[in-house]
Amino acid sequence: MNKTLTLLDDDQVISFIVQGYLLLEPEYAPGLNEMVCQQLDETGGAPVNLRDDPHGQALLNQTPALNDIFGHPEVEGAAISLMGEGYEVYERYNHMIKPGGGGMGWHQDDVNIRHHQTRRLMFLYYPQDVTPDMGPTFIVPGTHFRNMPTDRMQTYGNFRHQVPLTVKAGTVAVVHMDLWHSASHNSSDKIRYMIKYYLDRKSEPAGPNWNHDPAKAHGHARNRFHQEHVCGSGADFYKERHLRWEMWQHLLGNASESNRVRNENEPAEAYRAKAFQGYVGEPRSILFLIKGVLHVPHHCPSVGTRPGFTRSPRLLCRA
Amino acid sequence: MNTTRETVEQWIEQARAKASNGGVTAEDLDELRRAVQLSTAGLRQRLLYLHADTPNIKSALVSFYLHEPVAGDSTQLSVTPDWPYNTVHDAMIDGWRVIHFPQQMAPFDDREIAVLGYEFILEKWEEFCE
Repeated sequence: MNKTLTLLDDDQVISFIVQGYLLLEPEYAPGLNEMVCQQLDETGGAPVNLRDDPHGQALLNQTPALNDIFGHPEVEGAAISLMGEGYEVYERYNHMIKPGGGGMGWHQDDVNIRHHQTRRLMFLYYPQDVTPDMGPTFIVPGTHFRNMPTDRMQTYGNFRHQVPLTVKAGTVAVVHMDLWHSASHNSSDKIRYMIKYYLDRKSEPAGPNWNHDPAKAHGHARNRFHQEHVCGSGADFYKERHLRWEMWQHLLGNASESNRVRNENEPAEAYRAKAFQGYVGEPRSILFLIKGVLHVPHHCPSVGTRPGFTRSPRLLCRA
Repeated sequence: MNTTRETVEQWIEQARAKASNGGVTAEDLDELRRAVQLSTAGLRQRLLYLHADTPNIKSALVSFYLHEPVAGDSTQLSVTPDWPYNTVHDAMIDGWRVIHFPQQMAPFDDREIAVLGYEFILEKWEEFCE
């Protein structure tokens, strides 16, 4: 039987781009969260075993109720909205923090080859109410645009704009792969469970996969990208607005120009006019557009690949 | 146990009294030296990492991390963190000394953003009794 998925709308996608995360609170069948907890309690949750079980299949086998969580129309709808049809669950982890465990350690997952497209997402599912003393996950909204080796984050403590995911049972946090996040100390007497799925996009966006209203979305996106200051200084904010626009264009399937680097011989104004086509966030941008038509941009040479994808030319050509 | 400052002030008061009665002696000075050595032996370095919005010491802070020189010191993330200061300047007024300033010649990219804030490291030497 085909189920009707609940896709994201434009405003949710724009929020995801600005903040780097979304919170879903699906209405599951009664008792489903409790069933997940019971299955995790009984099995202890499958430990991470990247050698023999790189995709975390054992966790799913031991906790079959997770199928109903991640198959919920709202959860699956969010996945398709941001990752397209045919996305793949790449890995599954059980991140539980026992009483007295856990602690601060800001990081970005995986290696430091960053791109500002939605190529991989983290879905964080919390089967229990997470109270402040249970070791909530902390995130820093807006940091998914910041490419920062994890080692260098270790002099950060509490952030002004950090958000603790003190959420109600059943919440799924849809998180950009590059968002800065950290575990925290569990000072309660309960185990805190969190199930993390990595989802991989399998094809480049050909168009919006969410409930998109082209007549309204363009101006709405432009206004929010231009006005919403999440973190960082004013100088960074100018760049951040353009990076948001790039991600938006990529999701809309318009990545050909927004996803490339400026050739060293290409005038900056011409590059900006192409790369940020349609983004008129400030008067200067209009000037770039006018100046840009006088120059013919050059394209970046082809680059190496990550499995299934072309790496961001912008990053690789930076040197 | 008295702090170094208290010890020295106490000694000065005693010396002031002695000044009108023959003055301080070599033994008094030796006593002062011993007292100072004893009290400074307990001094330890506190470190405060502050990340500010800009390299200006009066700009708003984005992150703080205090390291106390005691065994088992551990800073935790908090849902309601207690911010000690709003700026580096505020911390300086409270007696913290800046020992590291952010590097102005850091690599610059006109499109990418990376590090969040500008890192200042401050120290304060204080006596700790464990």
